[in-house]
Amino acid sequence: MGVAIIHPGSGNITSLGDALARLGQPFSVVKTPQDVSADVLFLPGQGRFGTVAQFLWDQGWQPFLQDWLAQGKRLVGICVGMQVLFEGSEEDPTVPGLGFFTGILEKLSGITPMMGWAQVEWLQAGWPKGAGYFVNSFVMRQSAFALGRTQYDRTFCSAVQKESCLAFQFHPEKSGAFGAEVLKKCLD
Amino acid sequence: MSGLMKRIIPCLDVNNGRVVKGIHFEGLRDMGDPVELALRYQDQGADELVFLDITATVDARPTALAMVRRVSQALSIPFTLGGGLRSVSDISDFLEAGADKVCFNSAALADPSLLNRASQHFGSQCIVVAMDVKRDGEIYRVYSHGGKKGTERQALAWAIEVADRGAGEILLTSIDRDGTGLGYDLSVLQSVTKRLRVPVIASGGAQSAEHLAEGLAHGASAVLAATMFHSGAYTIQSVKQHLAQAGIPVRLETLPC
Repeated sequence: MGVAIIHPGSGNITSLGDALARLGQPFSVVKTPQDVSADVLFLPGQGRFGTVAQFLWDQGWQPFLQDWLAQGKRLVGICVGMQVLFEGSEEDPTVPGLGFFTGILEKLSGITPMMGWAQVEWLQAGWPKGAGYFVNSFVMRQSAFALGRTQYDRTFCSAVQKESCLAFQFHPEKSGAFGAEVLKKCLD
Repeated sequence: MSGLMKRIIPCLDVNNGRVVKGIHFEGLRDMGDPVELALRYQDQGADELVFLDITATVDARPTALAMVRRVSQALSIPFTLGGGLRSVSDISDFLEAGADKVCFNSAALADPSLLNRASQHFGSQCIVVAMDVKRDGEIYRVYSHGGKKGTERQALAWAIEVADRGAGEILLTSIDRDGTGLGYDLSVLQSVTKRLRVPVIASGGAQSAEHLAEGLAHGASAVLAATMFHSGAYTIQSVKQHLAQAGIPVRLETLPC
């Protein structure tokens, strides 16, 4: 099985690549859709919603990924890479998200960024029990496609799944043994 | 109630790619390989690690980057690197090598606008500011250059400024308490955590699980300690069990990796 990590423009993909390497999973890093030769695509993201979303639009990722998902191929979004799959975010209201899930992300109240470990309550069977490492100031409150929920100021949606598309607000690549199990499930 | 758990963070001082004991440049004792020690703490249940590179020489950059690369390959929990970062391109190098966050101290005091540039470029989530503070009569003064040089800045005002400029986290170290084992300076900790909306890591002086609990009770999102873990007096597991019994939410389950 071929795995590729989409370089999201800003930030780096080192941590995710290192986590896949620890699982013995080879991968390539792709910057444009033309470079993709894989069965599973990871979309990590750090920093601002608008920066990552704009980069993906500019590089032609939106139509490519829409088609990718229509073919039932696996896409895994992580952190801002999850957020950009929605329609938009309060962080950068002028930049649209890719729109594969409905909803607009909202800012957390209380101490931000939310930084650290929190329990993920899975809404489906088969996922490992435990806590993930979160670093984010914006969240999706609820989604018809919620796969996991987590408490902060209030409950938010910490994982979503729609058919072949999976996404996590926490960082499985930085979430110890729990995270490694989550990544393995994504590669199944 | 927030589901976020309180973080326990061992701090590793690094010199020329090796973990050393002691924060002063004289009489450094070799404590071992950073990756081996980092994995030991990860297995004990550490929530994050902080590496402070105290290498004095200016040409130490390749050694530090190689260490960060090795740590990132091995470790599956987040880690922060501090020491000697001066510019946006320095940050980029260390993040690319695999550091999750970078930490500024003297460089931010010398040029606070670096924090604005850094957070705009990389996001606040990876920009930590370390503040070394010392009581001076009625005020807490901020020190630079590893606690050697007093500045005109006061702790609370500087903390507010760095958060406004985009720091996503503050590592607050009491110079008075560091190395004493008397516990954190709770007074300056509380004054900062009461006013700030970014997470604050308490540092300097902890030598027992009770000290960690006090820091967390005074608003810290995370507590940092070195000697109490390095000496073997406490494991991360043992302090977490103590904190859990005291009703403090900590991450206990650690499956073997």
